[in-house]
Amino acid sequence: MINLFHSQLQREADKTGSVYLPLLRVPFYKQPTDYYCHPTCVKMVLDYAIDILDIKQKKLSLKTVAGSTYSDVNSGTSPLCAELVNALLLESSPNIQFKTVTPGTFKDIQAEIDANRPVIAWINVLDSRDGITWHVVVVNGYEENKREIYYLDPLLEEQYAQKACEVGSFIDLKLGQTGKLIKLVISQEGQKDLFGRVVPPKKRRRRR
Amino acid sequence: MTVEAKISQFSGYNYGQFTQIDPPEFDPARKMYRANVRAKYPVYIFDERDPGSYKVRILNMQSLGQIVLNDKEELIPHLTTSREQYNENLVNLLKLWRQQTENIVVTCSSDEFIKIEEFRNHLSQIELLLDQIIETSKITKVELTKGFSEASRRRLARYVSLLEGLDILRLKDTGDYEAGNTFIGLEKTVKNEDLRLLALSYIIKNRYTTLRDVFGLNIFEKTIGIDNVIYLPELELKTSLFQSRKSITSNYRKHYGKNINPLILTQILRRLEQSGAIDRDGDRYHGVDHLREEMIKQKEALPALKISDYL
Repeated sequence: MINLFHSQLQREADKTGSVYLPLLRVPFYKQPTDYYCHPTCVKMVLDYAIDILDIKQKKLSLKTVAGSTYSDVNSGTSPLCAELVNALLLESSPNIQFKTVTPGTFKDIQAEIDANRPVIAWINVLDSRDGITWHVVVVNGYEENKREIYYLDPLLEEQYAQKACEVGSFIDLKLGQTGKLIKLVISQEGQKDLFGRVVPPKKRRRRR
Repeated sequence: MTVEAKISQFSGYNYGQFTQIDPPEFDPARKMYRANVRAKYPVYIFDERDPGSYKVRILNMQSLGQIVLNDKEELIPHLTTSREQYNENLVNLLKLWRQQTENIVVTCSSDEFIKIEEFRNHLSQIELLLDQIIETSKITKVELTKGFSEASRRRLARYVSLLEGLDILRLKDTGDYEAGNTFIGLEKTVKNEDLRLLALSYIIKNRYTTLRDVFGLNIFEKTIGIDNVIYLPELELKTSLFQSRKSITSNYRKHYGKNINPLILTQILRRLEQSGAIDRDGDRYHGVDHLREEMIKQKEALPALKISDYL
């Protein structure tokens, strides 16, 4: 069941007449400290890519992910370092990379979820009038009819981590104009090097 | 690229996700731009009665560093706060925040702490001095030395000096000690056993850090640390919050960077509960209403968290 995408599950639910909540089955990890939300979310999405999307990539420990993004237990992650984990994904096949979109829109989320890719979202935990303080979650579904976005909050225990938020509130208040979505980009061409050039498989083998 | 964009880029690569940058100001005399770095630091508060949600309170950290550019709009590295320095400043402010609350907790709960017998045992040398001053209204030079080993004499002399600093004891011209003004003031309100407890409570209230750091009385550190872990989120939210042993253990590790043995935790929680310093509802612990209210009043009188200004 875990390998079925939500579109298939939706079809199955339609057949049986049952209610299906369209959620991507992202492996959940609770963040070990209050400010390790970004590396924890990156690990969730990476493990999803490996387990569910069959991406060939060595699983990375949370410590390795946090080290690659210079995340600190007290100060969290520097916003412009969020994608630095890409340096550890050069050997993935097909190649995967994280790409930031600011500001994130509902259309971005819809497109990613429809393509069975969860999205990392940097959301503001404050009322926008009080300023901005980022927390990071993984968006793993939406329901257009209900106008709801579903996300996993790594601050909570697994049984309470799945949250729902009204679309307008999520996009306008939590993401706002500066909140970013970090998408998982899967290359159709093969692996890429540090400069974004496609590396032919033969060349890679020889280099090893 | 504008000055603002350069500053924002530097911050984005070097400082954490809670950073706020004030608009840069140009100093014509020094020919440089300076932007203050601060943070709206979130404190996540959990209540075991509602494990599916949490509340966020913000610590406003007014000054964590600065970013400085010269008049050619180039970064001046030696005047700009590095990533490491930023993190260090953040840790220092968090420590200051924790200590502020700890001091409030001690000040407001010292009457309860002193009811814990094991706690009092560690203050037996102070009790020795208090007993004598209660009984005879003085302590002679000879009494402080006769029959004691050199080490005990030295330790006793340090406690005498601590009590002198609090004006519980006062040195006379003869070299003997008599009751100081603080002690006389306490004596007017209560007598005998109550006076001893009141004096001990006064000493804890006013000299907790000295007793912990100078006299090495580590029993205070763990007991007060656990008490602080219970009250710290309650003071932020200004209401009672329920915590299980598991969350107390994990919060103790978070705030003090140390693990606590489960047996010791059980013992400390029992002692705190029996003394009236904390309350219990089933297997969850929380603060006592009247103590929390007193602590909130004291906390509200404190200034904002700040590391000294730069430049």
